[in-house]
Amino acid sequence: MQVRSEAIDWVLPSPRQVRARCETALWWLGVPLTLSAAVALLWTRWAWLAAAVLALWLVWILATARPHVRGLAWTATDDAFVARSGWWVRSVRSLPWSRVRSVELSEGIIDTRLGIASLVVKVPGLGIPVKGLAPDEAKALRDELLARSAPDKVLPGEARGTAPVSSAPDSSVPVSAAPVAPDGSVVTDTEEPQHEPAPPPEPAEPAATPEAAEPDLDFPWFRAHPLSDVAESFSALLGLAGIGAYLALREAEDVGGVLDWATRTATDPRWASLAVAVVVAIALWSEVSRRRTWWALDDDVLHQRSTGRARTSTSVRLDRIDGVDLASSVGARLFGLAQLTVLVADGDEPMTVGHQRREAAEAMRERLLSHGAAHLDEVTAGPAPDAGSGSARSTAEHHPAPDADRPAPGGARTSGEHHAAPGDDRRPARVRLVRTDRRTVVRAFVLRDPVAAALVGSLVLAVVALTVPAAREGLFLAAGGVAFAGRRAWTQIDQGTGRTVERAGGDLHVASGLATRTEKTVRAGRVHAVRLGTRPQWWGADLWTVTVLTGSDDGSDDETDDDELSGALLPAADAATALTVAQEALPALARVDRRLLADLWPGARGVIHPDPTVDGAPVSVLRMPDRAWWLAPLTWRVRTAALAGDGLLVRTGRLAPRVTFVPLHRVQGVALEQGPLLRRARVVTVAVHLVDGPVKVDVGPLEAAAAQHLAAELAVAARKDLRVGTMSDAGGTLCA
Amino acid sequence: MTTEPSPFDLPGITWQRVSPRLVPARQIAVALTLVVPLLVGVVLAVLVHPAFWVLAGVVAVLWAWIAIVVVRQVRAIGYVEREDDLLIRKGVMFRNLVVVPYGRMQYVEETQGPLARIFGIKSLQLHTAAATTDASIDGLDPAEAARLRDRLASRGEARLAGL
Repeated sequence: MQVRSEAIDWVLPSPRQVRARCETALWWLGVPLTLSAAVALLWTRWAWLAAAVLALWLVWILATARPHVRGLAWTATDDAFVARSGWWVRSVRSLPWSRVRSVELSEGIIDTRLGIASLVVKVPGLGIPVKGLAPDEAKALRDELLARSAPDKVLPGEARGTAPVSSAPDSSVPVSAAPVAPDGSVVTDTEEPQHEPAPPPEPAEPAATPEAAEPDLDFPWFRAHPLSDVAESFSALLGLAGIGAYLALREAEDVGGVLDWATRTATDPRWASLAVAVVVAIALWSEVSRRRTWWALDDDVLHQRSTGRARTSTSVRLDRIDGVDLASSVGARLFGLAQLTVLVADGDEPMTVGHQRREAAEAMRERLLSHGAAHLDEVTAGPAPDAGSGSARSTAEHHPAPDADRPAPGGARTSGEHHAAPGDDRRPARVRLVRTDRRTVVRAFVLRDPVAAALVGSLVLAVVALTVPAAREGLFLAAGGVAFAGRRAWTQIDQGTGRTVERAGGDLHVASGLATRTEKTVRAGRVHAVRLGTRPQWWGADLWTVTVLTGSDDGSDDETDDDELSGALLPAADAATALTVAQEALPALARVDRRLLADLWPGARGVIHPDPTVDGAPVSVLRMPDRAWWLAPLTWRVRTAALAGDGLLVRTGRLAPRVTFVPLHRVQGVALEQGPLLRRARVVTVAVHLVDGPVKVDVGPLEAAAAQHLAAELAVAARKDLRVGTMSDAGGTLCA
Repeated sequence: MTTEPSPFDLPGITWQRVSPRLVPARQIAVALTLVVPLLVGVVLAVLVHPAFWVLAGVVAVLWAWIAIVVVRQVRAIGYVEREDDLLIRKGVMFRNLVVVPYGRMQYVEETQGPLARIFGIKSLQLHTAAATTDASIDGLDPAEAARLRDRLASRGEARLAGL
């Protein structure tokens, strides 16, 4: 490994970035400063305090703008994108090319005037800003980032057509002499593409949008459906109408009064014109913002851009997409629309593709998902002779002998089905695995849920309050209780009822929701962990929840009931169904020794029938040593873990047992921890770090030797990375 | 206290130590945070009531204790670059050993605050997709930090799996 720290050719930001920073600060802090000063002069002297703080802050930013900008720089090495920032606390971040999740290019109003642009390079948990780039340079850098982050890009420095920025750029700043014409508003005035994207093969008409700052005009840009705002705000509009009607009724006391009031208001020119103006303003505003947001899907990349005075453009490589959710709310279903949410593990809000006609949205989802599947397949099987229709990249030379140590394909997923995915856009037929029946939902979420008690309690309270005049006050309490319990019950029934899990190829499609129907897609090989769990209130019943951890779960760390429900693949099912779904989500689970699973997972009794000829090989089950019982007096006996089927199987909880299965190659890191108490008991805790999401795994205090064994196994799994076949079959992908 | 071999001493591994200049850097950082409550305690004791000597005394004892612990803590920091992963060991009382495979690393961050600049040291932190992973090494030589950052980045690039 060469040490190349001495001579780094930093690319410095344009000096105009200083001015951009100052102007931005003047706007963002100057306006509140002026306002608070005005308040101080006119109203209360205390506002001077706020004004002083704002003024100090502004002065600080203005004074440090120059060193701040000087501290910023970036460079591209063979292996990594390197960005420098800070002048007081300096930091240098090296981001291996293959880790780039998405790139956001933005040009604010001030930036456009000064002829600069900025990029944000996103990885899980962080966006690395690159500021003060010339617009051309920014675009070139974005293209390079996207091109070099391609998963098959193993060998650094390989020539690629789309990488115009040299990997060792000049230290001089390549600022274009003529700043880009600030004509961001051009787009909305020129010819517009069809509102509705055309049928599947080409989702939209190419829109010729002459915009100086965007060269990618060949893309088939499209916008959200014209009715999308109405569809989106349909429930809110209904609610508003309801409230309005209620208020009007209360004021007027009878229907005739309401009509009278309405006609009076409608004929009053002042009120009528005000109402019309408000409605027109809202409609105009929503139409303008709709027209300013565009999406385009090319071979490899999904783009989103917003035009207007401030421009941003976000690009995601399709193979970085972890899942696509298709949602249609009540309003959207009324108009036959659907919305796509594209999940990418870039630590940011998921990208939402505006409402389209349902068929168009479904076709787009297939395209978004088929690309990754084709890629996955290519990597798994090597360059098949007929697989190169869309992305003909030979990857075999980088991954020698992918079939060499490939375990037998497990469970219900055969490799034949898996091979059907690439090439054509047509997806394999869907196979329904589960449909949650009403009985299970009622049992799990109404009868056995605390919500039932709360509902009954508040109803009793209401009756008592109504009959006993002295307890009239209790009516409010009862109403609150009913509202709370009703909301909870509704959420649970809404989420639980009619939930179907279907398999299409290797992907799982999960449809849920009564009001807003959402179809989530769990992609093959993007599952980081799967958990079979139950809840205390389900004790004694055969009810299990299946939760999967994908890389891009919205960061709900707290495991509240609601989150658990919405994050669950299957909120409630019997053990057999739960196990089937879990094994479909993570095929490696099917290879876990059944006797072991039956040992660790209470739900397995009667579901799993170990086969003595296959199962029962000695497996080292890691348990808490007896001497450490006092560290966890209630659960020390049940806290177990075992290494099986290329994964780690962890059981916790006595009253509400949970079994979590994590493929070893999905473990982000392992930490052995020992405080004074644990040292006294001579045990070590093993924290298994997984991507952020609803599943957390800690392996309870273990013998030191066992903990070290676990860490060593992880190291072995880490070495397996390049053995692609193994990984993909174990539920993994390259560069998930 | 421990007589048997510590679980944190892996066989066949020689831990790389960090620069001893981290000790004064941390001492000053501790001093900067504790000097204010100490002064407040002393001033209050002199001006208001002698009972405030208790506050000053507690702060002083805490300071002395931290000063001793810091030395041991810095000595306890160690890291090893292995073939496929990086090991980082930390802590005296609460011990901790982190194993991060290069293939799971998302990015490496090298930071240097003003105090570290004075003492000529840098910190390096490996970030994975798990927010809980705290794989940071304080008190590295600047050259070593840059070398390690480049090396980790190139190893991360060579190991494909991003997540």
